[in-house]
Amino acid sequence: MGRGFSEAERQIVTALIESLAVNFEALGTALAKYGANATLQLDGEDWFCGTMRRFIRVYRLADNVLPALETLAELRAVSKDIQG
Amino acid sequence: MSAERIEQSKHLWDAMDLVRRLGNVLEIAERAVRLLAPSGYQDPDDSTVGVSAEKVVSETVLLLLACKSVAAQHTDIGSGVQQIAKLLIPHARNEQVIIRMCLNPGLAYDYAFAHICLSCLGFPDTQFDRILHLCSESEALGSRERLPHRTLEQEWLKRMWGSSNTKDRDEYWAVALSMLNRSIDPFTASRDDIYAFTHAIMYISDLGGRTSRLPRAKGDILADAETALSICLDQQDYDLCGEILLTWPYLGAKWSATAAFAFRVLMRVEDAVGFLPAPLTRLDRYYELSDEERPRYAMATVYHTAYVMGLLCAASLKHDRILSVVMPRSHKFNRSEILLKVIDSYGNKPHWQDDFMQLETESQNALAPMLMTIALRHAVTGHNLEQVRSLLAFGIDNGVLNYPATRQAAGILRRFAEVTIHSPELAVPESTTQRTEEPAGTDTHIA
Repeated sequence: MGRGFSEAERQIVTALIESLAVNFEALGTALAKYGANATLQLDGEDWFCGTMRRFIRVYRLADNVLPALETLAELRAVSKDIQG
Repeated sequence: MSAERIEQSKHLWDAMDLVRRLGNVLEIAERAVRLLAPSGYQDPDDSTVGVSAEKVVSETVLLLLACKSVAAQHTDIGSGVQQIAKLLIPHARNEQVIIRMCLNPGLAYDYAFAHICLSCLGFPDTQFDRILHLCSESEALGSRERLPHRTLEQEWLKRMWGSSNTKDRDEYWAVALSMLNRSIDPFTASRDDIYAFTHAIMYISDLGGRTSRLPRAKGDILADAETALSICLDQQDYDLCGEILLTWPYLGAKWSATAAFAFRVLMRVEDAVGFLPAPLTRLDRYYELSDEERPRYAMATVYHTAYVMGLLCAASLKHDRILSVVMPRSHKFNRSEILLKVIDSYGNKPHWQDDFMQLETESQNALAPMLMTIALRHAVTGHNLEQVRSLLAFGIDNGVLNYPATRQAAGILRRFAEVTIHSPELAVPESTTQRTEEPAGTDTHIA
């Protein structure tokens, strides 16, 4: 199920667009040049087809590392909120 | 009293202490239902922090089910279970749940999770049963492709509801494809891999209430559990530690030294905080929130790991594994300080080290497999192949060898040996190929 942008995600995407970090003209040119042929050969349908609206995605790569656990003594302050 | 007797009694786990801990978790569960069951929680400023109401309801009722046999023996636990179950009924069985089941019968058992568990706890609902029965007859019932451990969950739910007629065949195929039939990679395993392992055990064992056919030797599964436990303990990932520890009571196994030690660490951490904590709880965020917002944030980030401790206490009480929980001793291996020195060289000092230092030398030595696994994990993830080699040489000399981490570390060395034939620039420097008494430091790196 999809979800909307968080404020932080919106800021990142806005900054990427406004800074021209993503060159939509160049991407469009590449798609115009290769897209039709790739689609006809059915080797690009996962990333290029008539129903796919997202041609560019920015991924935040998972680093498989948990954030550090907070200090135990300081976490004790939270217990009053969960034990009533 | 002899020294050994003192050591044993110091580590004997008191059943009433486990009951007390379970009672505390049930208090948290009651508050979790009141705070989160109506609408879940979503941090408005962080989309990664949140929990759905359905997840809270399902995990709470699973906790209650795990307490069922303990509840029959301890009045306080029994009354707590009854009280929370009654609170859950309107969240488990309501118009919205029924509409979703009718529209999407492929998820019928998922939507009926809490209903089925409540029925098993003595709170049946025949009208809801009739609707679930209709859904179960739909040709769309099996329309979802699921991960093997999720297929096992479905089979478990059908058994609980009394509708399983697959004669274990579907379940056995799913078990064969699950993490129970695969070795855990001690160096690259993701949290999802380990969750898949722990959940498969929960479901095939009916939370410890059933002995089922395993896809490989129980000893091999326990060895993998111990490997994952060592890693998670070192990462202070107590949520996964607790789930992995369920492997021993749920498979009816005697606690290993590492498992007994890890349980002890979890108890100490729980005592220090008041609940078993998880890294999800960020204190800077907690203090940013208003007094009104804090309880729901705290509960949303805490309840799951707190429940895991409840599951563990309930399983230990149910399966009478308490008296066997004495820290084993080893008189064969007596050089744990050398492995500890390697681990210390990586800088961090997780909680388990304080508990380790409290043990007598023989009990410390019994934890050699855990120390070796942690040391190898640091060496491999630090790309320190010379240290990997030295650790394995140390293991050969001291009989700490035939474990998942040592076998897989040896495999890494074999592969890199082959690589260096074709790419000599990747070869380990000659000066470091001599066997050293102590595993080498962290100054030789690849990549």
